[in-house]
Amino acid sequence: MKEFFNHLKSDFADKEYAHSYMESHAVSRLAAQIHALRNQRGWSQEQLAAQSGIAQERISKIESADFDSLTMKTLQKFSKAFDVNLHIAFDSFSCGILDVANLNREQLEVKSREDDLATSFTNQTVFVHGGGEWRAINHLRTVEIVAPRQPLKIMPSENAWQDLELPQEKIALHG
Amino acid sequence: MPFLIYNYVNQHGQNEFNEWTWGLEKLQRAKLNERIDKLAIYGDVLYPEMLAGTSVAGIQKLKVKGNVQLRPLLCKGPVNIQDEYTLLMGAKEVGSKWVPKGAPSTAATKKADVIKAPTKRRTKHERVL
Repeated sequence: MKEFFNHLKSDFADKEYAHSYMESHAVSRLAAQIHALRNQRGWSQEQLAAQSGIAQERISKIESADFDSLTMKTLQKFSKAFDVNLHIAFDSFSCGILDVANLNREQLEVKSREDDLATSFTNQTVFVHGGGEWRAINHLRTVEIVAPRQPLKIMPSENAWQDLELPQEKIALHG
Repeated sequence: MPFLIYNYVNQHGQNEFNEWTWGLEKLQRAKLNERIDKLAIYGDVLYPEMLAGTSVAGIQKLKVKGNVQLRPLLCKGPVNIQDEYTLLMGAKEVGSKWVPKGAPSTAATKKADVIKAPTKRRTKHERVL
């Protein structure tokens, strides 16, 4: 994979080439995601057509990445039919290259609004602000800290870890 | 890369697929590389729309969207079906017609050549420049 990244870094020095490559990626990614979202819901193209108001023939073309343009209105129709958020943003080319390499089925599939809100924002959810962003944490774990039996030795390096002889039963994780 | 990509080599040792790419415009080469990269990373699982069958069994076309419909022809394997593809020839679709004419049948002949002598009749794919 390192060779792949180096190739793209070098190829993308050419602006026209870089845009052409990523335009092709955007089209095929969108096609793959619409296909994945439809399969996730167990829908046929006809069912998606009924849900979205987009003709089945058009859906077939979009899923085949056989389209030149797609309007915001069409994307919003898909968003409403799948009941998912439509996120459109500009990004750096380095992020784009990583997206080409890292895509997987889980990233393409998205829970519908009701499922998502029921599982992502629960009564136990804690909202934490750190590193300049908010995060929702659902499985907060607390660690019981116990004192070591012997006093800690001073380590020669600040980065060195010191093994502590702790009884296992005193180390507890609460899920 | 999880999948290995090979190019067909003719009886004179020429990498015909590479030679076909020399005639492509820069933007076409970019789109072609994007598809071949995806094939090498994901095979045909994540992007099912990329590959389509042809009228000849065992010969697939790689769909590259653009003003000109580039349709390089390839096959899975043919030595190791699980994790390799062999690009057999460059082709285009104009309307619903193949350029060159009868391309899928020609590709099937090339596939048979590779099966007979895989070490001589194919080479590792070189990135399209």
